[in-house]
Amino acid sequence: MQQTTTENMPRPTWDGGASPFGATWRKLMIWWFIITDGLLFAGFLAAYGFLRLAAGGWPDRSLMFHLDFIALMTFTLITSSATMATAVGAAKQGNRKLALRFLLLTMVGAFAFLGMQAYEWHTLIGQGATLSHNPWGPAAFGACFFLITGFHGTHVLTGALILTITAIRTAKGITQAEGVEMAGLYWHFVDLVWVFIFTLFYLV
Amino acid sequence: MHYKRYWATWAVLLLLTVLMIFIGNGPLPKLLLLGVLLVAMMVKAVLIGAQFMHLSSEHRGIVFMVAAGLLLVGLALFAGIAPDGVRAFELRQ
Repeated sequence: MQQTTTENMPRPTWDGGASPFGATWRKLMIWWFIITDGLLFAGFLAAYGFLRLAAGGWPDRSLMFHLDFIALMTFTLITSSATMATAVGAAKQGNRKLALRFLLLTMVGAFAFLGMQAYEWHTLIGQGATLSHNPWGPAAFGACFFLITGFHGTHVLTGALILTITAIRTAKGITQAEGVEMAGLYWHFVDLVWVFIFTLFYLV
Repeated sequence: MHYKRYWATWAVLLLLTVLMIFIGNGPLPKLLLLGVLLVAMMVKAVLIGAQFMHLSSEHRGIVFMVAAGLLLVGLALFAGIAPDGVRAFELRQ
């Protein structure tokens, strides 16, 4: 009977041995999640594009949004992504204290963004905007705006909870560098989606 | 310290955001404005993916997986819907 040794086994085509693409299963799973979740947002944004074109006209953004305020929201999210990346870098270098400090800063950004979004929603609802009606014209605006920013806001809320749990577990020494990296990938994805929402809703 | 690259990315992202707001309020024709903003948006997205999400240093299998799964399928979705959207827009005019 022929014995199989490591030498004569076929080389894996993905260069990762037992681990596809040289990544751990956790990293692969979070990337698959990001791809599928990203496609969900792509579907929402494509539907928004169609509805906006089909409406024949769209409310003037300067009537509905305060761009300075939205810019502040964007600044908060981009900054929280940079603090998160620093937290991941620190965790990978084994600097738990620095990782925790930057995780806490990221949490501040996450909750600040949520607060600002709640304020923006409150202002728009106060002016009469709902899912089916708004004072500025095409009804589809309200549906698209609340659905897409609401779905993104839910992701921010989930991210804030994940960050809180990761920070507590990092402080206790339970979460290792990879756990911080997974939380980071999710958080950067939330920032990434905002780049699209910010451009397509508030600037175009 | 390699954290510098994260903060350099942060600075570029902020600069792009400010430029987009500035251009968005400028006198550019609508179609040109749309094109410029979409390009800037994609540059920001690639920067976040490459630098913050470390795709620039990941195994290229993961990069291809993301590019094919998200970027190509996402673009195909928009490309498929756009002609109908434009037709609907023309019908309303």
